[in-house]
Amino acid sequence: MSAKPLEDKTARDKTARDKTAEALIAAARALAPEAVFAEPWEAHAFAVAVALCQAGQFRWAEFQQSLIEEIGAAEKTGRTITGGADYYRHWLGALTRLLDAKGIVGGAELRARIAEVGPPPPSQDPDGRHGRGQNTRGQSNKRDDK
Amino acid sequence: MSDGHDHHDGHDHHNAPLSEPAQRVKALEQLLVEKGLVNPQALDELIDTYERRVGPRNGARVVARAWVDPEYRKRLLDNAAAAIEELGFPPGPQGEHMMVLENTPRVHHLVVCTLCSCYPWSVLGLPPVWYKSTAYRASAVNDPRGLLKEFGVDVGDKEVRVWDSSSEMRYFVIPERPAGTENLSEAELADLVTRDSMIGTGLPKSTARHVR
Repeated sequence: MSAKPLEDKTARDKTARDKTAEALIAAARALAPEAVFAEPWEAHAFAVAVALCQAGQFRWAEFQQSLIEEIGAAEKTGRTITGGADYYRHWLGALTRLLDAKGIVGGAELRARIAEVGPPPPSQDPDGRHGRGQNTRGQSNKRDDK
Repeated sequence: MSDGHDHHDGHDHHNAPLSEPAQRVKALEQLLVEKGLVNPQALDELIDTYERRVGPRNGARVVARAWVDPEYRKRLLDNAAAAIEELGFPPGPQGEHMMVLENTPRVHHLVVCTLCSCYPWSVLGLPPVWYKSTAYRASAVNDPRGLLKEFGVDVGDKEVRVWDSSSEMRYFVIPERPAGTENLSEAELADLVTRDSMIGTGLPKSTARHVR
C-alpha cells in the first residue's frame, strides 16, 4: 500500500517487479523505522473508524470509550498489550462492538460476512476471491476476541 | 493482468491467506461500503494521510516557530489548536482539544494515555507502538523517572509532571530550545525536534550532532 506510489516511479523493469517492491519496502522501513501500520488490515481498521466518525455515525469519544473498555477488559485479566497488532485487535473489537450497539452493523451480519470472505483461498488459486470453498481451515481457532 | 500473481487486489501481499483480523476488517469494510457508509477511496486517502502526510514533522514545525516567534508561542499557549491550524495543520479527530506544555529549566513534562491511546494526531501523527503498550502506560504513572531513564533522558533534579491524555484533552510538549542554536534558521531548528521530545520521552537533538 505505502509502496504503491513509489513503485510507479521506480519499477521500470517489469520483470524485476517483485524484487523492486521488496527493495522499496525495505527503503520505506529505513525511512520510517517504526511503520505506522504493520499490516494492511490495521490501516483499514483505523481508517474505517475515522471515516465513520467523520461521516457522523458516532462521536470520537464514543469510540474511545469502547476502546477503553476493550483494553481495560483485557488488562484486567492480566494480559498486557504490546501496542502492535494486539492493539489494533482491540481497536477492531471496539469498533465492531460499537457498530453492533448502534445497529449499524449487527454482530450476526458481520459473522455471516466473515464466513463469506474467509476461510482464505488456497494460494494456488490467484483468483480465489470468492468464499464458496468450504475449507474448514482456520475455523478451530476462530474465537471471539472479547 | 493474470500474470500468475494477484497484484490487483490492492492490499493483499502475494497470495497470503488473510489472517483472522484481516478477514474481519475485510468483511466489515464490505458491509459498510454496501450500506453506503464508507467510500473505499476515502479510506485509502485517510490511510495515506496518516502514513505519509501527518507526522511529527508537523509538530517540529510548531515547536520551531514557537522557539523563534514569541507572539506565536503566546498564541500557542493560549489556544493550541488554533495556533497549530495557523501553520496549516487542521485539528482532525484527535486535535480539537489540545494543550501545549512547555518544558522549562525546572519542569519536564511527560505525556501518556493511561486508559487507551489518546495522542495529538495533528502534530505527531499516530502514536508509536510503545506509547500504546501496557508497560509504558503503567510506568509513566508509577515510575516516570525510571521510565525516562529507560528512554535515556536525564532530567536531573527537575520536577517531572505526567499528563494523562483523554478524549477531552490531548497534550503536546514544547521541549527546551537547545543551547547554542541562536544562529539556526527556523527550518534548521525544526530538524532538531524529535517526536519523542514532543512526548517528553526524549530531548531535542543538540546542535553538535546537527552540524556535520
